[in-house]
Amino acid sequence: MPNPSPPPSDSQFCTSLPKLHRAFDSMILGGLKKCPRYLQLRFIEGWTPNGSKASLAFGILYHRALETLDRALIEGLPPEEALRQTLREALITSLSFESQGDTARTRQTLIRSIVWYADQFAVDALQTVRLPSGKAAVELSFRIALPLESPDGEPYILCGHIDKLASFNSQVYVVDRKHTKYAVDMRYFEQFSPNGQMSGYTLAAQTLLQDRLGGALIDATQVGVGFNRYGRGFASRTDAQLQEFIHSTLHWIKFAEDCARKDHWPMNDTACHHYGGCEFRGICNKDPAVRQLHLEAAFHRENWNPLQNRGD
Amino acid sequence: MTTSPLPLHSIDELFSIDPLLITDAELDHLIAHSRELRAKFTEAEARGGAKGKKGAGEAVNVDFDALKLEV
Repeated sequence: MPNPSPPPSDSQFCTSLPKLHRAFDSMILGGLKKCPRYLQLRFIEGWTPNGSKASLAFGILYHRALETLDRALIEGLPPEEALRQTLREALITSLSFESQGDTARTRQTLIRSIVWYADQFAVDALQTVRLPSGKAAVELSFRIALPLESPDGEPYILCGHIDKLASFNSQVYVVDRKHTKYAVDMRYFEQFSPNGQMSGYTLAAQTLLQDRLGGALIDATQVGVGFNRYGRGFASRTDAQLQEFIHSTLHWIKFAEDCARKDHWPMNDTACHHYGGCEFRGICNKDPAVRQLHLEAAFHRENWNPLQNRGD
Repeated sequence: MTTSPLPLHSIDELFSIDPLLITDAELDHLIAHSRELRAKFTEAEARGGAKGKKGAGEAVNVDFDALKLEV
């Protein structure tokens, strides 16, 4: 098993090979697996489309709100007061939210999603873990040293942010919250096994909790224009599956190392049209000579730093 | 934080005003409104008339309380 607590540093890139990440989270690993060119544009050069996506912004607001609710409940606030506090904060943080024509993701549906969640799980067998500090175990950042050295001579880092740890039947579960416009059914949960994000979270939690870890769990809501539905599903991993995940991760990192050494990020043109189309499809379909101009017109630079801590 | 015995703004207005001006009573009004919508939706779903496609695999929700009893 990998070791926790690698040396702290804020730099996500290797010093000796500046286009190579030394810290990998599920976004960066996922980007690499999807398309090396995507990794280069989004996570190395930092290009982000102008105008943030409503789905991403809504997800952040929803996560933040449920985190506030969990914290308030752990602090002992009565449920109605905790909900009130959560809504007030959600109304403040969502003030500049623009739904961009997305009728299912608005400030109104955000508030509804929170109230319905609080009521749906008012009595919940899945209890938020209380940390030794007395605070709720929500939005926990982790860093794990992987058994592979970067060109800097230090281990690569697998990192990320766990939404929540919750106990159920004397075991602890990694809980990841999701929202979707689609039905939260069996098919929805199938996408999380296999899934690098959930494997990474399970690996991190297992490193910390060992035998106390029960597995991973997706806490999802379907957000419609006039309704929410909630569903929870397990996404557990065996030890052998986690070993396989580590092995594959190291392989992908070595591949990234090779790309960085050659400064060549090949295009995976089988991924361009997935999920409504890659955000860079309109760039990659242009002649290489004019791509930079199109990038500068429709994108801005915004670095994604996987080592940035969240929560307390 | 200010409190008011009666809501001053309509539900729609609560989404367009400065959130710091929203009173606790208005927040309670917002919560009650959301609950009313939930009750209507639950009722419509029970009648089989709720909007929103549910998809093929319906038995999704993990019933944690039921699981607990089995152990």
